[in-house]
Parts: sequence; C-alpha cells; structure tokens
Amino acid sequence: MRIARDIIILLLVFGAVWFGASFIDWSPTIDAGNIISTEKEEELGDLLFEHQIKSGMHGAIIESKFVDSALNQLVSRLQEINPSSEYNYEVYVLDNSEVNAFTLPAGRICFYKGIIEKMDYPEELLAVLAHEMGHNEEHHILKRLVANFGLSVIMGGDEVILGEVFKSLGLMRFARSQEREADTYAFSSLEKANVHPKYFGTIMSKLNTLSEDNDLIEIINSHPNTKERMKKAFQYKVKKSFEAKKVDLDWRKFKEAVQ
Amino acid sequence: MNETYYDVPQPNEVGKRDREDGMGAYLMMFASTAIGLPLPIINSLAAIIYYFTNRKKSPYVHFHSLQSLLSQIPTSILNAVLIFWSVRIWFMESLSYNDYFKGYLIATIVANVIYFIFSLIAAMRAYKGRMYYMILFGPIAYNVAFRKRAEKQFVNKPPTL
Repeated sequence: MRIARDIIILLLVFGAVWFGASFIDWSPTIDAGNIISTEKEEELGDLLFEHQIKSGMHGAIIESKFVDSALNQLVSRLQEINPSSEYNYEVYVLDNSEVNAFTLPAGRICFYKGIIEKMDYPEELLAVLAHEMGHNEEHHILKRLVANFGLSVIMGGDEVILGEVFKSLGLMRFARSQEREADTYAFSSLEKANVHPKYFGTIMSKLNTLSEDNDLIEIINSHPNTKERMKKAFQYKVKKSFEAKKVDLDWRKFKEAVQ
Repeated sequence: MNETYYDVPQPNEVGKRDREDGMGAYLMMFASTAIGLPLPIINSLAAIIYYFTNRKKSPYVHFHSLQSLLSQIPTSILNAVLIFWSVRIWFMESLSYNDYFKGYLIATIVANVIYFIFSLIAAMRAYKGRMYYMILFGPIAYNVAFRKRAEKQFVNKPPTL
C-alpha cells in the first residue's frame, strides 16, 4: 500500500513539474523596443523586406490600385484610433496560395492571398491586421530578433551578416505571451474602430480547422492556446457605447482582385 | 525484536568499513552518472555491479547499495527518454521541438537535481552510520536487505549405490 502511495506521489510530482514547466513562458525579457531606435528598426525592416519579400521568397507582391486603396482604408481605420503610433504601416498581399500572414519590423505587414481566400468578411482581414499591428506596437519582432540572433548582431548593422542571418530566418515565431499581447491590442483597437473582436475568433476558427500542420500559420502557431484565444475573441465584452460599423469595402471585388 | 527482520544497526555499531561502503554506493553513482551521461545504461550497469559485489557484506551495506541502485532507476529512465526524444528531434527530425519537450527537459533536470541532493544526504548519513530512508526506495531496500532468510544449508549425501 505504502509503495503504491509513494509511486503515485512521485508520478504526480513529476507530472506536475513537467506540465507546469511546459506552460511557463521562456521568452526573453529584454526590452528591445527601447534599446533599438526607430531608425535602426526601419533599417532592419528594409533589409528584411529586401530579403524576404522583394526577393519573391514568398511570392510576388500583388499590384493593384484597388487592393492598395482598400488596404490603406483598413490601415487608416485602425491607425485613426492610435494616432501616437510610431509606425507608418505598409500592407502587402503576396501571390502565394498558402494560408499565412506575418509582419516584418517597422510596420510592414504581409498577407498571402491564400489567407484572404479563407476570409468571408473584410472585418476578418481587419482583425488579423490589428493582431499583426499589435506585434509591431509591442515591439515583438525586435524582441524575437534579439532573442534569436543576439543584440550585437542586430545592432552591428553589417549588411552582409544581417543579410545572411535573415536568409536563414524562417518566419517569425512569437511566444505565447506575445500572441496574447497582440490579441489584447487587436481586441481593444477593433472595439475602438467599431468592429467586434469576434471576427478574430471566426477567422481563427477557420484557420484552425485547415490542417493539422497549422504551426506554419503565424497567428495560430501558439498551440495549445488557440481555442482559449478564440474563446476570448468570441466572449469579448464590448462597452455599452459600442456600435458596430461595417467595413465599407466591396469584399467580393477585393477577393477577385487578389486572385 | 522482530523475528522476520534483522535489527537495524545503531550508528555506534556500524564499522568504519561498512560506513565507507555505504557511502561509496551513493558516490559511485555520481561517478558513473558522469561517465555514463550520454548513455544512462552505463551507470545502471555500474550500479548493478556495485550492488552485487557489496550486498553480501552486511545488511547495512546491502541496504545502502540497494537504495542507491533503486533510487537511480527513475532518473535513468527519464534521462534515457530525454536522449531518445532529443535524437528524434535533432537527428531524425521525426518529432518537433515543442513546449512539452521543453517542460520534460526541465522536469528531468529537476528530477536529477533532487536525486543528486538526496543521494548526497544519504551518502553523508551512511558515512555517519545512520540509516536514511528515501521515499519509496528506502522501505523497499530495507525490506530486501534486513529481512531474514531461511539459510539453506548444503547437506552432503553419500552417493547412490
């Protein structure tokens, strides 16, 4: 009896430590956002944009005046409510039928056309955009870069070295706490922009059911919290004064334009 | 005192040699762990050899070497799984590096540290001639080392004619 009890105690303690440790966030605490100047971030953003986007690594940028003006409209709707933002956001749609969206330093946000294909409302695009803006506003990209490559490499500014670093860099993976922060930013800015945060939940649930290998999709790669994050979006309590305003965008035309 | 168990020796009754052998059982594990780190099977083998060479000496030494052997089994298994898991991730790439692996890594390190600390305490106690019962392993080792066994005496018989 005593042996059985001891075995159970040991197993429980080990299990508790294992699972406890699995859910601790090990992201670095360096506040890279304050260490790295805006100019430096711009430089990094340019370099990354050069290596990852202009090189056609993710597919060519879809160029269409209608798409550009629609994206600008969405960006300004979110920027209006945060005029103190230090970023001038630029949003691109890339000719890639995989499902993905990500952000580069200094406010360059990219959507694959595949993710837009999955969206049924412009509000969903706005929700993902708000989430990506959240990563920028919270300086997550810089923090991840510093965590992955070290401050000296990032600050060193040697274009050749940085170029090589970025070439080997896959898409940015954020820590769970950073995804949460970006979500919180997205929910509050969506609410301020008169769009219900539930749209973040709807697009998340669509992406989540796509495939088992959805680790590739940045916004939902922080398993196993996806469900919890969706729930937060669906259960988000808007203020009493909240009044939903539709996004004034011909969604069908937009989807056709990016195809 | 108890018919089925030998009396537990008091510190003043344990000879210097027994104390050293008792302590040696724990310290030997550290040495073999260091050598056998890449392959936990090596230190398990060393522990088994140490146990079988020392168990006949006295119940006191028998107890400590068995407790030392038993107490390293869980950490050996954990380390073996960790190595297997790591190889699958980094060399065979059939598993991915995820939060559960990170958690397992940390939990295994914690388990090793706890094993180390308790073994060290047990080694010091053994050297002082004291008994030290670890959770789970102590009572099992006591049960094996101090239980009286009916000794089978070999009886010489004349040949069958």
